[in-house]
Amino acid sequence: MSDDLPEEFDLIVIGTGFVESCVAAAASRIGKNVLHIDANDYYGDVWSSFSLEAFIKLLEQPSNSLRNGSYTWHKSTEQEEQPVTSWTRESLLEKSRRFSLDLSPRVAYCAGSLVQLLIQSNICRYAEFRSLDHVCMLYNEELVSVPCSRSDVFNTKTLTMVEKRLLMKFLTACNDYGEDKCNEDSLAFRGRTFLEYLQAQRVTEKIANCVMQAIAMCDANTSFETGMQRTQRFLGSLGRYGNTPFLFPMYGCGELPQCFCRLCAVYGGIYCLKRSVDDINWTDSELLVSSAGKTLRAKHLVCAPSQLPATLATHFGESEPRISRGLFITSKPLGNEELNKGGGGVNLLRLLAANGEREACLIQLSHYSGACPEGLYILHLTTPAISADPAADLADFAAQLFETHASQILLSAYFTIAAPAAEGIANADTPILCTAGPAYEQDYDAAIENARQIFSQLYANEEFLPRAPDPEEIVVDGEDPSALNEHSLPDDLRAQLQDLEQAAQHMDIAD
Amino acid sequence: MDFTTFVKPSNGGATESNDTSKLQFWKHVKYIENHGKQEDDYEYCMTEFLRMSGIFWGVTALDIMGQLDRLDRKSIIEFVKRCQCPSSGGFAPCEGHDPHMLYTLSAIQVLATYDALDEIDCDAVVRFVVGLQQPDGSFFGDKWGEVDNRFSFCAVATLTLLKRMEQTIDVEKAVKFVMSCCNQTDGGFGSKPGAESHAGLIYCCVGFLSLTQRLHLLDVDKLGWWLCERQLPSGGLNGRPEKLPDVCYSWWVLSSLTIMGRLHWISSEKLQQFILSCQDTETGGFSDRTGNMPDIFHTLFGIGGLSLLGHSGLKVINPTLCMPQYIIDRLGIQPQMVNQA
Amino acid sequence: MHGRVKVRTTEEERERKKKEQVLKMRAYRAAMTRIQKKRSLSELDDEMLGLTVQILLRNPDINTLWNIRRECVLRKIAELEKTIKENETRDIQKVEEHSEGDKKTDDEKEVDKKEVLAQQLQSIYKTELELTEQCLMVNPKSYNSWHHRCWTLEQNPEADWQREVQLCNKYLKYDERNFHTWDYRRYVSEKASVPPEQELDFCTDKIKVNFSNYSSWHHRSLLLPTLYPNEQQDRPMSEHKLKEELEMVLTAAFTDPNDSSAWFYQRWLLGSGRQSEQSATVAAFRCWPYKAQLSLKSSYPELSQLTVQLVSEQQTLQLQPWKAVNSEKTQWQCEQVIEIEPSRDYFLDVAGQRKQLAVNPNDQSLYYFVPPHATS
Repeated sequence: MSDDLPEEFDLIVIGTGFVESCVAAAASRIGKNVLHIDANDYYGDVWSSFSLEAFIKLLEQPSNSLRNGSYTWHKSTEQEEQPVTSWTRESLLEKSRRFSLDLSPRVAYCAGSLVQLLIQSNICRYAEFRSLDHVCMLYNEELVSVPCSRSDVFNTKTLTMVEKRLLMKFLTACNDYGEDKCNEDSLAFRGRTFLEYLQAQRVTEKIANCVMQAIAMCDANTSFETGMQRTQRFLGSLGRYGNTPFLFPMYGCGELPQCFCRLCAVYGGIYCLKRSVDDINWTDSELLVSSAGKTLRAKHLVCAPSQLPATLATHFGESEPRISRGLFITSKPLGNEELNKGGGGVNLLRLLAANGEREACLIQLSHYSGACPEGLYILHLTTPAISADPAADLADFAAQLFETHASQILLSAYFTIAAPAAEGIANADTPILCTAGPAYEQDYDAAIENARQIFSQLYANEEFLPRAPDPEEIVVDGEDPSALNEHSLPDDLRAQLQDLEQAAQHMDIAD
Repeated sequence: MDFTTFVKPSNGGATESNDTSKLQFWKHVKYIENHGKQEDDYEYCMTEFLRMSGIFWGVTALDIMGQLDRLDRKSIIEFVKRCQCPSSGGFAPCEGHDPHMLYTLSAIQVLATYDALDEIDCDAVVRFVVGLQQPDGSFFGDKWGEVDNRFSFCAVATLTLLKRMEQTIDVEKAVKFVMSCCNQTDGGFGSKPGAESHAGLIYCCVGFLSLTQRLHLLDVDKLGWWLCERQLPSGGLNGRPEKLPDVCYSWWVLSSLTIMGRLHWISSEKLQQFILSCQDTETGGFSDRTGNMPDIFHTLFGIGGLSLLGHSGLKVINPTLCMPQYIIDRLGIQPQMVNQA
Repeated sequence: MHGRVKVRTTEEERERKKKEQVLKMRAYRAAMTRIQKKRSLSELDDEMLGLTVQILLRNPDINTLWNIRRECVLRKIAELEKTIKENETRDIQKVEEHSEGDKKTDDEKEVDKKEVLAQQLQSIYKTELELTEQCLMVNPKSYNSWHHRCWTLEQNPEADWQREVQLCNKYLKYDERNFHTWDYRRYVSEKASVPPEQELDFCTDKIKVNFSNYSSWHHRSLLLPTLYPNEQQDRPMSEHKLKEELEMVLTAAFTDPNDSSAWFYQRWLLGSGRQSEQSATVAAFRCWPYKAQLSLKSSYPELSQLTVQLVSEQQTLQLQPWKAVNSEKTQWQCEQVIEIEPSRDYFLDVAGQRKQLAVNPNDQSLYYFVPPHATS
């Protein structure tokens, strides 16, 4: 790293994961002098996406935050019928760079906190999304699309006409819940479960499944209030960007931390990758970071749990399994043609374990996500960890998926995302603010909330990521802010004025 | 040419609050008076291509408000006269532009309002209109061949105001063409055969049938149902199903329903509320929807709508010709209306 | 301060906007002045085309500028055609002058030249089409841009109508309710001879995307009666298709009962089809002892096919045959001896419609007319 690196900062952020990048961008945006470093040679830490080769390498090198990695190449069981599509380990590795394999894949609600934050801060300029094609559920062992819009309800063949009316009526009631029109009988369910409410609406079993599995994402114990809130979140995200309420970042979730880093850099944040921290010390007024033989000083310090120097690990507790992950590359998408029109859908499926107590989330990515080559599919399976054996944690769910649904798995991989158990923002012993590692969630709500809390702890009265102006709104030093310069004119007007000037030289155009 | 020269020095009015539940009468008068007064108003400059209609909207709105004398009659008539095309007989929207059916009707409406039809060559106007009728009965907007029921309306309205409907155009064929645009699904009309029903075009066609005394050809109940379904919870009316309400559509639907004797099929009270909510209480004038920028076009249709609804302090407007009734009476014209059912 | 960027205030932004508008106005006025001057000198040249583009792109509603473009285009076409004609006459002269041997190469040259001229002609049309396309991006509801497009295509005997249908697909994806696009679609798909089945499929797809698309239901209502005619004409389409349509529209109504599009369509389906067009609705009737006259609300092809009866308690009299007395076939007459007893109650029965008749005290004739809602 260059030696002309300044040595004093308002804030040093260690680790370029999602939460750290949010904090770095937010601090830089309000004019703080930020240094953002990462021990890795890539952005994103455990929130990053990798090429196939890099991903495999990662599994072979366990770390604090990524462990229990294993992978298996499978022989394509596909017969000669379609020799063109018979993929091998070699042919996959040849396309290694066409993959963006996420460690922490998520989807975003179209009206959820991530999308709101991206829009509000104008960071959306750096991001690109694909609307999910289908939200699915398993019904009688079959994978079916859950109708997500009134046109879906209108078109679906899986519901009868009366069911369509029942579902729409139920969803409309949920949507209006809490407003003036709130009907009194729903008040009676406060303190009871959402399932009880649903049953009282006398919907059919199929509709109950749709709502519980896919829309409200509940289990039998979910309270009425939570179920209602989740249903409203789902409904509130409909009709914004596509047919479903979800978005997936093009080229993988690893793009997102980078968007925040870009904003941070635009506002003067300094970036150093491949820079590990040997030790952190502090005085009453500042923190001293020893790194590559230099001591960097900062008023504040935010650090990812995965990048805490070993000397400090004890302050934050042992790292333990948080999320069990399965990642499968297949040559055949899950579900029928309807779910995979035009060469494969980007689909979401929430799975419940046989006993109904555990859940997992499956994201299927086709090449439309930009995360894998055409003809291949990535299946991300995620569940909260209950052991140090990710394959065992996921066995029940994998069975639901792969035993009844023919698939052509080419590569299966399992790993655990770990994070320190004591996940306080600040540890009383140290002035270091430690971010939380990835938690099991669909969207980024907890991660953003974590970044927001850290930020407000640092800069209590400042706004968290206010809208960043577009380049053309920014006034260059010394410029008259109300002046029109030629470049700010629309192209056609500029051209027209130039033409006119030329014409005026040899013609009698009155001004 | 500029609107400035049309405007006499203003003589002020009473002060009003910024309440949208009441008609901000004097603010609207000022708004229309001031329209285009600023020498280099961008919007004004960029809309010169429809200036003749702009004048009609302003003149009519002021007349309905009993304030016509605030504009300078003489300079307006002079302007209109300058816009008549010496060769075709039609009127251009302003000098330097081409004559068109749309501005010909506006010009005749303005002149009729000022009782100044004798100041122009009316025969030439009749020639222009007659020359644009096609063998199938339809009308071109100008010599370049665009066909639209708007022009059928313009043609018969112009001729009606000139009292020259007889023995000029082929009325039977004109009626036949308009009726060939009537849709079986809803009884409404579009711009040409097969075109989707649209409140603006329905006004043109219902108005056309009113002027040609052919209202019996309408399925009044079917069309009336479709029209009254245009009213939305806000009280405003839209021009087609699943569209937003708009003050000008409110006029088109309302005038059609009035001609068809079905005004009572909508809620007048709620519509009045909607129209009033589209007033700009600061600058005066009406916008298309609550909270938007006002313009002269929506100002006429806002005031016209209120007049049809019987708002006090406004002169009665004729639903067919969108002109003050006293002028229609003065001319001795009787557009057909259906009795209330 | 480090990292702090200065952003314009709204006041400063407003001032900039104003300055920009002043420039725009200046540009507009200068160009208009120049255009009008050139037009008065009949300079319908490329410069003129260029000047109109500048304004039209920002304001495609200025009809006069489109007129000027049409004048320019017509002038250019005329010039090209003149060149082609001149070449032809020269060619004939050459044929007469030259020997057999030279003729072939001249022929080839001539073909090339013709090709070049034809290409020039096509490029004139192409320029106009491209401009309207750009203008429609600015204002997809610009009557003038749409009309100019139609005009241009009509000028060109080799117009690619199929491409226009594709363009409609694109525009309707962008705005599924733009009635200009739907009107244009009906116009070009007829020119391109698109089979109505294909149009119906297009409608179905649009309705699947959003069943509140009244434009699509409307378009559908135009196609079905021709594609699935109903023999008896008592319904808008064949019974079989009607059932399918009802199922579809009911599904829409069950999904969202607040959507009015479906209800209007359903009413049409359940209505009596093209009744007002095809059946004879009585507007007025009068009969004397020697003849009867019947006026219909709209034209009917052959009244004699229907049962028209004069009914009283004592007897029923068939009125036959009927002759149309006007070309619209709305006025009919039947010359027949009719016994009228003024004290009796008479009814007119036309294919099941029954109207009570009144007696005119002056000449004892029987009459009926539609109660006059209409007054002057």
